Amino acid sequence: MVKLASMLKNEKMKARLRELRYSLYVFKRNKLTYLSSIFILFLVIIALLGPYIAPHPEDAYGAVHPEKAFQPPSLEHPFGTDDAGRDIFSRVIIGARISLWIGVVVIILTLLIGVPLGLIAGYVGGIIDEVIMRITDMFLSLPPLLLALVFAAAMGLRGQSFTNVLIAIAIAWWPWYTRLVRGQVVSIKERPFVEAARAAGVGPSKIMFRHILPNCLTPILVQASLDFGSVVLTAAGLSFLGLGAQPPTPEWGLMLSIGRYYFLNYWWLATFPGLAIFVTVLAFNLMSDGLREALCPKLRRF
Amino acid sequence: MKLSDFIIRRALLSIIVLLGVCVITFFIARIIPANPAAMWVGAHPTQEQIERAKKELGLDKPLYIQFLIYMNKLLHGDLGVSIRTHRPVLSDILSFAPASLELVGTSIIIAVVIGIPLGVISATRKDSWVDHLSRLFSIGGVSIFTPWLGMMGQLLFFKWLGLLPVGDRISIDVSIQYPIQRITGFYLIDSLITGNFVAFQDVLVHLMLPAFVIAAYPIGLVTRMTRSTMADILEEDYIRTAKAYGIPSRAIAYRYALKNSLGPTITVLALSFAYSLVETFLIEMVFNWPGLGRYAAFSIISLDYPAIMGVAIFIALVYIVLNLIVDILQAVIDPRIRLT
Repeated sequence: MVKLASMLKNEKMKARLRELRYSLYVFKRNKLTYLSSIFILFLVIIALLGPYIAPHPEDAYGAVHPEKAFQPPSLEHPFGTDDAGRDIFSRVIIGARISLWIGVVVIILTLLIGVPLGLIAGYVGGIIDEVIMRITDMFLSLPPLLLALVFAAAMGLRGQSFTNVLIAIAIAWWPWYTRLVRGQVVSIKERPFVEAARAAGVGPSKIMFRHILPNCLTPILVQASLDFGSVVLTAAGLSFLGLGAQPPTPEWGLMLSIGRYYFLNYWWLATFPGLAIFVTVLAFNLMSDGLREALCPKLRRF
Repeated sequence: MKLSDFIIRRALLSIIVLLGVCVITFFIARIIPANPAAMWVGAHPTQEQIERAKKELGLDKPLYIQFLIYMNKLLHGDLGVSIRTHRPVLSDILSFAPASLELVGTSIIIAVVIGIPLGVISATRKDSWVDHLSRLFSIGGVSIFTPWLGMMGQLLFFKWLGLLPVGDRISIDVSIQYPIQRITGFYLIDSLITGNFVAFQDVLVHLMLPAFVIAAYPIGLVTRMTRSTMADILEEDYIRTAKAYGIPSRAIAYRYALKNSLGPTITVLALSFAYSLVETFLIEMVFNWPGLGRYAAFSIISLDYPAIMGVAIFIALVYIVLNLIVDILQAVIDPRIRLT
């Protein structure tokens, strides 16, 4: 009996491994996805080492050199210098950690709000489900950038801060996850293993988090990676409008917003920070597109 | 379900959603500012002034009564007074909206003209170089920070090639020599009706760059949506029958398959319209476009929250009404939809 159980377990493990290997194969088969995930690894390293590898790290933290303002790209300053004579190359490099940090924190906050609500709505059902989902619908009826702007502006009345922006974007974003998770839970909760757990007397919160949640992790992760790029763009948009990151923070959207006044005469002021946003978001979108194809082809956004 | 029942149910649903949006804006406006009364009075208020402002703003009443007062005002078209311009928010919105609607409308037309054929070509030639290129193009379109795209466009087409203007809706000399009579507020339409072709051409030239920049996102969305629904439909039996009859594949794609795959694309277009209206907050700053987006951006910078909430409600209204129209249109075209 014990032997049979261990054999069954072994078979299950083998099947899982096979599935994983197939997903990895699909993921690697697409060259663009593969390249973009290598690029993301590179970005993460840059984000971690930023201040140590940037040639002029002090330029990201408020140093000014008016005598060196508006120098075109050169060997000394590969991306040129800005209106305060700061090295744009160093600022773009150190900006990477800010943008990735925003993405990670916002996605985590979003998951912390959206996933439990979706679990509860889907599992408990009834009036609680109705209330949660109608609130979700209200939020979904406004474009997320608009919601984030409105929240950030309203919170700005209590004083500008970077944390406000993170919270504002998370408030705009959670309903998508609530809806996604609820849909998953509704289909999973009728399966025999959940019924078995309930019959064995497992409590509802344990069923939700230990038995149901692991089974809807894949679409959540895929959706989170799809959203990463949009979150970075939204944060850049908020900074561009003067909400959130304040000078001299080397946030890419903020650098663009200041570069806007000079770029027609000094093209490098706007070109490089914007290019950094583009390649970062593009890499995340390409990678998550491949990830979706490999893990769950049903979750189509495009 | 009868069509009329469907329309009534769908309209009621829209009203509920709109009510929800009002609840959200009410809570943001009333609860998040630490002390709305103090904000109303201005810098260094005395305790007496704050008390009086509280009475004036109705802040001493219970929350649900405050909400009813707020809703009553909204229903009478009273969105409050802008702190920055000292004008009623509604009249501000109505005077700035046409410029933005003209811009976004042009972008959506561009998205349709480019996105749908590109999607059809990608679906009929799956995994060809055209398909891969269009995938890269669409993902690129949704990955780009649009204000940056606008600035790069200004560098290329204004600074280096000298083909297009840097911004504004119309050149100053044209607006003086050939003034546009304001009828609808849409410059293209107004100049066309009055036969003012010099102004029409000038307006069109000014519209090009910002409209294409805003279209970057919808083009990608429309292309991908058309491709995926087309690809599904091309597998269906009736397409195979058409093929067996010897109908040319071009005719099959455009005459038989495309018609049935347009539903989701139209929904995406309605969504894009609302998203693009928000995108104008950023783009109109870059192009100095005197529309709703620039108004909203200035309001955000000066923390003029009655104006911000007014614009938010306006955009939500546009979005909800568009969705309602799209759903009803689809129910008219495709009776299967009424069942759900």
